[in-house]
Amino acid sequence: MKKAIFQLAAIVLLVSMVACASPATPVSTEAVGPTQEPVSTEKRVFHLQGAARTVPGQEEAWDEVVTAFEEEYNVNVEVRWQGEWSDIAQQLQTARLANEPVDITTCGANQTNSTLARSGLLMDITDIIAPFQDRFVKGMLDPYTIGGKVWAMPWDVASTSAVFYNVDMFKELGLSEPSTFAELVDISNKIKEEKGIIPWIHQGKAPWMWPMWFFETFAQTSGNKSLELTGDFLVGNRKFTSPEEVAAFEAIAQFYQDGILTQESLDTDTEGMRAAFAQQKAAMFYGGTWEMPNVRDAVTDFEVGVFEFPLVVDTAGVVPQHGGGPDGCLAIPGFAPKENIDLQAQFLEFVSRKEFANKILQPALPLLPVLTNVPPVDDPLAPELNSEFIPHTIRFLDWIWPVEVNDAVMQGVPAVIVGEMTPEEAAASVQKAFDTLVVEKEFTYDWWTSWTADDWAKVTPSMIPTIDVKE
Amino acid sequence: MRISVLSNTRRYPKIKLSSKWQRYLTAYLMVLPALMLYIIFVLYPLLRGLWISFHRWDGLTEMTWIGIKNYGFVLNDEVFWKALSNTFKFAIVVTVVKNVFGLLLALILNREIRGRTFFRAAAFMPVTFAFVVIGVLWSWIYNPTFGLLNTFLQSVGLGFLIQGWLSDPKIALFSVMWVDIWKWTGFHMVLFLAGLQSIPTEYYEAAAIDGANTRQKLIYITLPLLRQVAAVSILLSLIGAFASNYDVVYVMTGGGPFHSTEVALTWIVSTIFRFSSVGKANAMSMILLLFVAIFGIFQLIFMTRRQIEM
Repeated sequence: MKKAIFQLAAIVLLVSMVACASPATPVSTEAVGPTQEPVSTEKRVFHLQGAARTVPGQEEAWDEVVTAFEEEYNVNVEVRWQGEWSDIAQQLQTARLANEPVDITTCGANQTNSTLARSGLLMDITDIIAPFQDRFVKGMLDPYTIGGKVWAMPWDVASTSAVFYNVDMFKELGLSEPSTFAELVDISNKIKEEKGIIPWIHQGKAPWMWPMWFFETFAQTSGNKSLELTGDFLVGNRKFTSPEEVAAFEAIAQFYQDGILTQESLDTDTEGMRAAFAQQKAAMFYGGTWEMPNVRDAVTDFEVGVFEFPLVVDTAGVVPQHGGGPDGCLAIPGFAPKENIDLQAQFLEFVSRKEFANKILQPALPLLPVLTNVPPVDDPLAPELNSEFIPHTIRFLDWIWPVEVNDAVMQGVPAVIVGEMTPEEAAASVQKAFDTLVVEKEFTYDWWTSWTADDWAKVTPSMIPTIDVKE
Repeated sequence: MRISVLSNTRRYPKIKLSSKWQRYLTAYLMVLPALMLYIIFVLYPLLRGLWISFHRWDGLTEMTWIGIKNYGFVLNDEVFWKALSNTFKFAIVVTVVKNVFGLLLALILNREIRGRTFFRAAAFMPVTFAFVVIGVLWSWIYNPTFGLLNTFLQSVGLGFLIQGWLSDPKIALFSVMWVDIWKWTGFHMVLFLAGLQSIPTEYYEAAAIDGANTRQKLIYITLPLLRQVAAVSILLSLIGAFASNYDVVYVMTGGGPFHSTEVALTWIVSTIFRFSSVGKANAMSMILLLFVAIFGIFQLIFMTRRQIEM
């Protein structure tokens, strides 16, 4: 009996081991190495990945364009829209570690500059987009050009930042657009007294939006030199605890102390902010012009206006400056299947053709297009934004800051607002984040200068394919 | 030269295992498949994690050996210690409240009351929902502008209790804990119900004859006989609270405001994926493992002692 049990156990063990081992076989045969020829009788599979589409109608437009690409280039495209735009670095890293193929990814200028390019997660596409780079509006490639190489193709629309407000309510209360902080305080008090609503709602639960407040106030407290001072800080020639940075935090805190921002803003996400504004539970909100499609979609009962972030300093000659630029991009991951380089390059060209670019980008109401073949949208606010806001638009600082610094600002701004930190403490926490980064990761601002030939080889296309460039 | 070939007919001596060894061998063979899975999916990743923790690595480029520096970095990481403290707070509070509520619900729903089946099903229902769904649902309930909770408080004249449930760093962690408690109380209720139904009714009948009242029956019969179920329930809730607090925190607050709801797992994930510090994140995991292991050993000793006493 014991012998029989012993033999049975041995058989079970053997069978279980074989069963455990069997799934490995098909995986290994399905894997396609860079040197293998694609099977001619089967369509190649192409993987498009990106953040979930949030602009109404844009996902359907993508579907149409993808179908057209499949037909024209005899390929199957697998599309995966998931997560938020801020998850892209995480998604790419996960895909890279799991050996999941991604041919094209959506991206943002923020991550491209702070993480993706320096981590080797993106392919150098300088030569790939060269045949059609005249399609981009002048200057739009700049935020994606790091160390002289282009790492992503600007896609989507360019943005600036503005305060959106309820024009009808302002008219009803006899209010006019504020240009200074003092005027804004008066307006907010009037709104609270007369309407009993939140004067200004902010999407405080979206932490990446808090640094935008800092961009605005720092631009003013630095005497419109925020970009230069940020450069000095990142090369170690300046401390974040300098008076200009501390003053920028102080200016933000004043919005809460004077009742313009309320507790509700700290607990409100993007959808909540849009809903509060559209339902007239708040009179103003601050955001990027990427909000326009959603505003136009949701607001039907009143007219929407925009004004520039008010002046928080009274220094002569200082003007409001807003973060902006071409936010969205498309890129080829550094680990993308090498055998698909022709399709990857072709896809970038394909979606930037007039027909397809307009199909995808028009739902986003491009006030400031990044492609010359996409005309600006006919929106009543477009002329004002283009004439008054765009000249005051500078690059978002979080396109320059490393992610650790940006994270410290994200935490610092709301902490200062509710009094969890003093402005000095918040500034010190940002400086500490930077110092930690230098010690722990040996951070250097100009990372490309220390890359080895091996590093470059991993992100440089093995060949530059010939692509069809069509109008 | 002659080569001698061994005859095929030669018989090797048969190895005769004693019955004791055969028994051992059989047992080991039986557990071997599970052991292999354990080695592949637990032990190897653990050792690999330990190895990585001695390197600077962004997850993509080559690893650089830096010895125990990552552990030094973690020691200086204030957010990690705050997250670790929150993890223990979360685990302890949630475990206690879930089990107390579960027991109370079980005691109520073990009685012959109208609609008992409905109430049991209703109490268990949240267990079946994914944390992502529950997180979004409760985020809206807590919403200060449109949320049900503040609206309800306002409408019943309790406006002074209105809070920024997820934005006030003093209460945000408790708001998130409540969601975990709400989800899992039904599960612990089922465990306690099973325990209650396994208690022979004769005990209660004998106690009634002796003149025991309801409270005395509860204290001297029900609770002592639920000890083993309670031990399992507490163990399961502790493991759950340590291992599965990531989803609810990530969905509801992302660790904010200003890390007040950060738990070790959310900070470790941020360190890997947001900051690309894989080596440091692994050092954090090792430290977390150490603390949880110490906690687990104490719990094991306590539970084993209780069982021996029983």
